[in-house]
Amino acid sequence: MVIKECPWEKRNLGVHACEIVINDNDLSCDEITTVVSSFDYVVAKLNNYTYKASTILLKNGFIFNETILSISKLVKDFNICNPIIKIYSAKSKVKLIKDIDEINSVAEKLGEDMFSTDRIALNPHFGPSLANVRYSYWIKEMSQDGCDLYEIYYENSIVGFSLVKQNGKITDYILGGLYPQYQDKGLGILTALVPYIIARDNPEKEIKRVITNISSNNLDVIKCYSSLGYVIDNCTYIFTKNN
Amino acid sequence: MEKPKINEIVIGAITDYCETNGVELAEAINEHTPLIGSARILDSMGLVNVIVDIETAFLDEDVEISLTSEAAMSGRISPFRSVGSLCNFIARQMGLEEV
Repeated sequence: MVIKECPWEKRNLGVHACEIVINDNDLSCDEITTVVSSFDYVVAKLNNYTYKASTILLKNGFIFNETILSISKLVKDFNICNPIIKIYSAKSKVKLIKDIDEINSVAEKLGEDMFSTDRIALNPHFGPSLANVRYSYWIKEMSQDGCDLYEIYYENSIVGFSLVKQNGKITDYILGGLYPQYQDKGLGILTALVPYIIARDNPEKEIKRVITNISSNNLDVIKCYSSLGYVIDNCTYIFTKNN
Repeated sequence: MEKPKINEIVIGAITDYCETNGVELAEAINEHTPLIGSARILDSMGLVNVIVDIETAFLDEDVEISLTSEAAMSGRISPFRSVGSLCNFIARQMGLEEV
């Protein structure tokens, strides 16, 4: 079991927080009780589901939040004959945002409605407003820490953003979404298509594979990715406890 | 192409999608059926599929329309509010008066 303090959550959420990663059967009730008593907010990430670990977490007052699905797809396997990919990718492009003022501008476009299904937004102790503030900070910090921030263009409209990290020939799609005014208008597929568009528009990066994480709480997003043929590589079960 | 034919193609494409994908409907698809919003019958991927299916159905009739244009996707008033508003949007693209 690995325990990691998350000091940034004091600023983001106003709580003394930590994250525990549970890999195998390395979890004891005493350890959990000690950790829980030392923090305001604890996130437990269970990499392999076991009945024992789940029971210990629930007995210590944790609540199951979501399953994070780690998914991936090879860029060469995007079928450009698929009419959905063909039509939507032809009208979409991305623009790399490097200027600090522009990065801040993207971060400030996040409204309360942008992310409403993540575990922070759904937690009654926090809610959508804090969730989006947290993501705003995240965008600013990650953009200055080696990640690439893109804005997504659909024809001439800027409809959303995408934050990715390049690891060799693999692009890790960390965060992205459509701005609130472009949601629920038939553009949802772009969120799953953007990694392909980034690879297509940046051939010098030689991106071979895209990876990302999606939440079981957002069935619409799961359907978008599965319709494009992403495969599930791993599942992580997330439990949280607020004190 | 007359407006009733447009309605027939659109309603036919949406009905086909719903039947094929197990979308349960309280009533048959009609001009008032919402495609977006809280009472929508389709999820976001369903809407994307229906948009492509309708474009393809019109192409089969040798009529090229675009439901994925910026105007359709990013307008303040979406043409996907209902089946009827979508049929009107297509009719306008084809230069027909709304009926």
